[in-house]
Amino acid sequence: MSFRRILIANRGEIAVRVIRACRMLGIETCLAVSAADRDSLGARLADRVVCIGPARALDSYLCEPAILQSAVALGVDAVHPGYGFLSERASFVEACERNGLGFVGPSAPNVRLMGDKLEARALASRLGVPVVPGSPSVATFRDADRVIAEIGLPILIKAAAGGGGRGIRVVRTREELRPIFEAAAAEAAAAFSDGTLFVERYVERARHLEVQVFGDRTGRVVEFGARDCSVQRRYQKVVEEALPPALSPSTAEALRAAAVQLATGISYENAGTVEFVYDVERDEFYFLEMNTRIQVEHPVTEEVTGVDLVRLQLEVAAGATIEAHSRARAVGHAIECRLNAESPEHGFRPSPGRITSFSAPAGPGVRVDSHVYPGYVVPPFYDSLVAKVITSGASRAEACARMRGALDELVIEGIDTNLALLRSIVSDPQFTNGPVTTSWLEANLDRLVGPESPTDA
Amino acid sequence: MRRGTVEMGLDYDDVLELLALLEGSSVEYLEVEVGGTRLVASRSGALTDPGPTSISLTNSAPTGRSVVASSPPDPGRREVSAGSHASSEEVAEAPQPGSADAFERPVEDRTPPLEPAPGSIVVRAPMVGVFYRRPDPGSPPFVEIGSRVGAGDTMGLLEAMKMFTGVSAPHAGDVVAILVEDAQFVEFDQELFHLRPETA
Repeated sequence: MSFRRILIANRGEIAVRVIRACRMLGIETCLAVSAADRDSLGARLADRVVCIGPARALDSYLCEPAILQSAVALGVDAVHPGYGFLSERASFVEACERNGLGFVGPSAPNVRLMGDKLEARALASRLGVPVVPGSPSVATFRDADRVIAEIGLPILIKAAAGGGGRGIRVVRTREELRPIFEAAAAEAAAAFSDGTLFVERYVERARHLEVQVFGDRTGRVVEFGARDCSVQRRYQKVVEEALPPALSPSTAEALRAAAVQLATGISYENAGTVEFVYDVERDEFYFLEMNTRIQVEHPVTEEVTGVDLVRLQLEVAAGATIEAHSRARAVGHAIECRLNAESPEHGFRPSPGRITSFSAPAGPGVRVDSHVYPGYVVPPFYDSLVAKVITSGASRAEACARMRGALDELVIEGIDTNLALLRSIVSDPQFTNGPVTTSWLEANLDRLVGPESPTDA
Repeated sequence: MRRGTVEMGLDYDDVLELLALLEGSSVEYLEVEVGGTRLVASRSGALTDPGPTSISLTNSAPTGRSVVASSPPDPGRREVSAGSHASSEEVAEAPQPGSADAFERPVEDRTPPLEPAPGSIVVRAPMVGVFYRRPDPGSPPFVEIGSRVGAGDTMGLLEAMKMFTGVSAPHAGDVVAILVEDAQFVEFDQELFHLRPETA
């Protein structure tokens, strides 16, 4: 059982990725493009292209009626949402269902449940998955003090109505609790019209660990191992790897088991990623959130397990079971670097424009997932990801060595990119001796970007 | 440019040839003036606001009136061009004329011809969806060839998932061509009508 024809409601490198998986399976591909993406690599590769709207994402890739109408008119069996855009919008999943379209991803209830981050935490807790120690709302600094007595310092005081990194303050000593608490309450009331605060343990030395899970419609869930995505800037991942280095087997196993427990508990279908905060000092992990879609960094898992995750998405969405993959094992190590159209030397300002020259590295253990080509114009309307360079090897050292070579070999001209920064990262002794924490990149940015220009504050 | 033609300057064969040359090159902007006719073609030009990928042609006729027409689409690009809601029949090897499968029907099968008559404006789809020529199945079409419309008049409807949007006449004028069929699935920006604008 397989789909005959699908609509890909996304763009850039993931559109190319999905088209490739479809070609392998003999599935006809229809690609929805905005007016700015008519000349994309995806548009050249797809069997059919439909222009669904102007460049602005709200009027194209985020426009549910445009995508649904195109899917229906083109007679597709299912829609693949990629990542971002509509991939985690429960209303869209439901709309596909109502219109007789398959959705290459989880069920609408899966998406809805995990989309509410507070609900997801509560559910994880009920299922026995550890969550960041903390409290429900605290009304006064004395309540916060009681929480500190339980979970220790340092803590984060968070605005319940905040988000996107806003409304968060660190408290390191008991003496500073009261002034910070009261300031936070006032700020929350002013900024979010809701002064409600809660307390969470602040993990000073944290690693971002996540587990690739996969469920089918029989209720079975498997996992394909964990990834370490600690190299981040402003909550954006820059370098990812599989498997996480320097993790004790028991912790790694517990992490994976917790992810499967959560996914099984919600009858999760198709590809998903359970994200955790790993406290390096305490050797403890806490559930953070679950992403109910294929992720950007899925290639590192593919390289160490040999499993084509996007192909599996298509097969499972068409009704296949996951049984055959219950014994997936990871071999070796893989690293991914995200090449972005931006200039780290100038405050990471975006650099859209025409790529005048592009040459991707190759060779054993070198993979490049990209949608660009010489002459391609990187549009200014979307994210800045230009290419993913993925290397693998028998060990982390081998994967790193291949990555240095691959980044040296890669040629891209016409736009600014973070290529030099990526090269610095994978050559840096702190990284190669690894692993690093989530604050490492930002703390070392000046040094890694180079002496020529100041970075942003 | 044929000698002895009534209108001095570029005729439409010349224009199409120049457009084809522009298409195949990396030239961003082209301006040619021959006799009384000035041709301006720009990759970033559009009917109103310039979009990043549309190609528009501005042909100043000898009368000095400036109108906007569209260029033919890239023949190498497949476009969604036909049919109503397609059901999942098996894929036809050679598309039949009048085939209802929006996936299969190639650009060449589209009628009528795409080149707008001199002085015409192209009215394009403001969104992707199913195009309707009439307000409801029982009513006559909004416009026919030869219909006169006022600026802002509804010429057709576009539907995407039960949401309807009107296609409005950008200028007062006469409908000289209708490029799509009732209940045809159209892309964003697809040509729907040619309109000869009313002179002031």
